[in-house]
Amino acid sequence: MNDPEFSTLLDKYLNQMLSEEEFVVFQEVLKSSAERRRQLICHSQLDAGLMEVGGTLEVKESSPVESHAGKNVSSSVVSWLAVAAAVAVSTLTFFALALREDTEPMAHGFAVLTRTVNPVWKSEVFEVGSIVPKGSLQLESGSLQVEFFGGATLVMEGPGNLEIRSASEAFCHSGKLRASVPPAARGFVIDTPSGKVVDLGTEFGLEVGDGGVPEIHVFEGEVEIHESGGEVQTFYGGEAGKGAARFPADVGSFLSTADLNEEVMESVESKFSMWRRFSRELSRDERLIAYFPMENPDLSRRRLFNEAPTGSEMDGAIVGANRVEGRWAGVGKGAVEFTPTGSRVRLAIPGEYGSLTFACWVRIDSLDRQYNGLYLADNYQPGECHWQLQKDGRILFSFLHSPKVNFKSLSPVVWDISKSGQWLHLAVTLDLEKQKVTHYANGEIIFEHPIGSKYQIAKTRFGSGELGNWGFPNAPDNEWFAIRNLNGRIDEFAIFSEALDPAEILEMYTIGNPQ
Amino acid sequence: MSLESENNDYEQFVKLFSKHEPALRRFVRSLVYSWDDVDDVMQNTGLVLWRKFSDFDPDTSFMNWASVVARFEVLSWKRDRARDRHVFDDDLISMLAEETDAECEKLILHRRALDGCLEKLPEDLRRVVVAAYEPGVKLNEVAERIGSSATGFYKSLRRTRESLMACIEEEVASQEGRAR
Repeated sequence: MNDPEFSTLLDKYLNQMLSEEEFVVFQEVLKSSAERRRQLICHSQLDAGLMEVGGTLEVKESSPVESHAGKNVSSSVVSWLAVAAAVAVSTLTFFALALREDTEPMAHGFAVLTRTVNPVWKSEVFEVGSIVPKGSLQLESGSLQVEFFGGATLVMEGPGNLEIRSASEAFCHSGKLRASVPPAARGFVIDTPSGKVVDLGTEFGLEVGDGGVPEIHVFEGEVEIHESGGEVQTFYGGEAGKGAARFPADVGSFLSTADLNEEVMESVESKFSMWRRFSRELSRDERLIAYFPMENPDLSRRRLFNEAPTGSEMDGAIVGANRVEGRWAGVGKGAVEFTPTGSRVRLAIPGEYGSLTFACWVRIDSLDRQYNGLYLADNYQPGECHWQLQKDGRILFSFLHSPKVNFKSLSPVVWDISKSGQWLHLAVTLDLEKQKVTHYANGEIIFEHPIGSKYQIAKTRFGSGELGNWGFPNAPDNEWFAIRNLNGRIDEFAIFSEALDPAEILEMYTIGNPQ
Repeated sequence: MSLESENNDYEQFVKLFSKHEPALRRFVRSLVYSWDDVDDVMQNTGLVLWRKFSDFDPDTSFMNWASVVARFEVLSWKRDRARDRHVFDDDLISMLAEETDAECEKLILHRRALDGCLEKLPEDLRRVVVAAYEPGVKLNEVAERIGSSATGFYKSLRRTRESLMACIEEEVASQEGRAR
């Protein structure tokens, strides 16, 4: 019985709507699965809990989802660092999605943040690739590029405070902007403290200083300024002005998308070369069992080079997967994309080990499968591990203690659809000395899980296994296989024969972070 | 037993029983099909607990003791209703009882998390909770009252439960993560 079928039965059970036949089936399923029983217990307890408080719950007149979500966003004005924000965002997205479940998943927002250079945030932190909701983008320094769903693109230089109001409107409280408004986005409006700037299809720069009076430079096309007093002034290409003053437009004083791109490339190159030094040093680490930095994209080769001291015996074989650009675009860094269903990278790692660390950069486009593979041992024998992402955005690390005794450790939610396309650093350590599993996301510990005495093991093994999918059952004559391919990319994958300490994981994240 | 010590015992019993009654109801709810069944079993359990209260060692956990009694009450209540098919068999009841006991600390965290999760629940789903869990009201009556949109009501109810469960598990997992 699959999950949706069971959920339907469970729900009918709770509503006391099971037929006698269904009840018999339900009972059999429960008897054969501890996990199903756990679900029943949790839901019964919830049912009873609701019985205790449900009738007394206060209900307000009416409160749209929007304000519910908005409250969560603005209250998490703290830094983005891993978990706190991840959890808050996923909760609100979850509720937003739950409401729409009958139709289709929805995300909310008006624009996409497409580039940043050395941003120091004063508002909530956004990663490149994030969808930006209504609210403030505030920089202390650095610069950013934001693309509105309506079609306009803005480059903002810090310090600055830009409030996103809709897909075609923003309020510039302060700072320096350059807007590029193609014909499709005509009518894009930037509000300022002393009037509206309406773009009639063009490129222009805007600076709002202390007095709140905007200085406008039109490089091309036509712009109207609707002053608070009601007057409308029109500026044409080459013209600039502030209040009553008029002067020639100075195109060089505003950062353009091309300038920003150049800056991004410079910063990418310097980060990439820093990482490359780090990575080459790391590949001499004797604790490495296998290390695939994927430094070179080498699009035609179907072999993934193991750069660890263990050498080419541990090279991976790429099957079905695409070799693609890695987490730094434009510098020749590679990655492997597992989107086609049969995709995988085959590994064969002989021998026995003790504690372990798995670490990788992963870009998840969506979690389509119930389980989405990072590393999975084929046959899952005692001592072998599985590391994967569940559909609900949690990381599942498990190992088999002995036949039928399966240790599972489930992290809090690290991913939801709002993080689609962003690079995430994941790691997990299995420490057999302290008998605990530790999950990491973006360098931070998100969950520590002591291993109960029943599950403790002394040795770990790999045998044959794979990245990005599951090869089970691997009998050569069985044409069926479980579908656990990851819809996304893996860039840099490392397996160590020791539980790395938190500082080492943080360093891998910090130096390897493409942002 | 003197009258006075019996009065003291009774006071002591009422205190303990009312303190643990909600948790005990939640425990029984995991073992039986309907709220009517829960009420039956709870009534018997209360009587038996009082009758055997002199066996209870005040240095041990009342909840543990009460849940053992409740589990046997479920089994004996079940024997009287052998013809009703909507009853789990003894093996499953024992498994569920043991597993609920084993998870009892976690389930307390679940219960605590529920309050916060209800706060976060969107308003329209809160209305569903109020309608479905109004004291003394039966679900099928609620659905009947709603009439043609009963299916929608059940769907929303399912969504509400799933949202709350996801929220609770997330909350508890993050608490556990923090605590260590």
